[in-house]
Amino acid sequence: MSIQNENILADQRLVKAVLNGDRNAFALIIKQSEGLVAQITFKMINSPGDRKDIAQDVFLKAFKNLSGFKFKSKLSTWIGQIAYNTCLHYIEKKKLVLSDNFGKDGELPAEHISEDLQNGSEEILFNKELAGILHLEIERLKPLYKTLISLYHQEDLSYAEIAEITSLPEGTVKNYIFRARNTLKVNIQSKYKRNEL
Amino acid sequence: MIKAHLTDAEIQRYVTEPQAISQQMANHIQGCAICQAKAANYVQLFNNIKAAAKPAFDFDLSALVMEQLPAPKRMFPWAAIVVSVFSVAIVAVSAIFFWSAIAVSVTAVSGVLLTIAAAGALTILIFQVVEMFKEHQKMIDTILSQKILQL
Repeated sequence: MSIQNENILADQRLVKAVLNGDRNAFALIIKQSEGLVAQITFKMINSPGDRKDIAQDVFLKAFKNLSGFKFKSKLSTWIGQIAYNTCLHYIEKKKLVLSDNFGKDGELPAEHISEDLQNGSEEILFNKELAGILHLEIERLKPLYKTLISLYHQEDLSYAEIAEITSLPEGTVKNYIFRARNTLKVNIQSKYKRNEL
Repeated sequence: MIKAHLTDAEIQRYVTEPQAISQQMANHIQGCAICQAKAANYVQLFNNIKAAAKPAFDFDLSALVMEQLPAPKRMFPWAAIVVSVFSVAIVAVSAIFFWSAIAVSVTAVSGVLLTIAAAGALTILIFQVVEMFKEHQKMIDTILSQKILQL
């Protein structure tokens, strides 16, 4: 039996248990997907108090709609989708900005591209100091980009799974992640240069 | 071998999905210091992102959610009802069918035997009541300890 089928069977057992009134099974679902929900809410929402409300709301919605879950995706992906949509709704309500406005053709704005990248040379700028500034530079990215980067590189989700969570086409997800990585690298390189001056 | 440097998107794909890159591109990177440096930077960047601490809630999310869940809807116990009705029916039919035999055996049994049977049944009943009371006390203790933890 493939790992994917085993995951579906495990999800089916958990959902069936919850629908039969087993509350411990739902506590287990929370434990299993709490990390993913934390990743999404921390990257999309700045206010700690609102994160707390949103995280609770996500699992209450999941509980309420569990009988409608069709097992077309992993249970964690479905809960991730609820988390993303709940955060998106919050951002819209607060009139916040989700994504940066890159160029029409998907190119980075000119001011974001360092001279090194334009003339083709590349300095080895990344060293042991990277870990120190990486967190800050990720936080400087727009919510959508830091969410996508974290889901791919920290949660090990595939482009297809991220596309399901965000309801974006897979090609768009790839393109956004490419831009986000590029922006992150350019920003870090710029920071190194500023520190050197 | 291609002479033009790989684009940034191709470098990223080389690092994250090396199987998706053409052999010509792979050959170029192997012979190009600039593209190798770009790829090395991305490798280091991705490794650092992966190694970075993951965010975590500083409160017990599970406990917060569990106390807000609506009471579970109890489904009508159809299976238990069917089994009960079936059992009662079997006993009733047996009693009707074997009534004469049962009446004969009851009148034939001595008073001592009847007393022993009644005492046995009473003992079992007492044990069951004690067991239920212990179970009830245990549940009350669990609920109280949970309430104290929440306070």
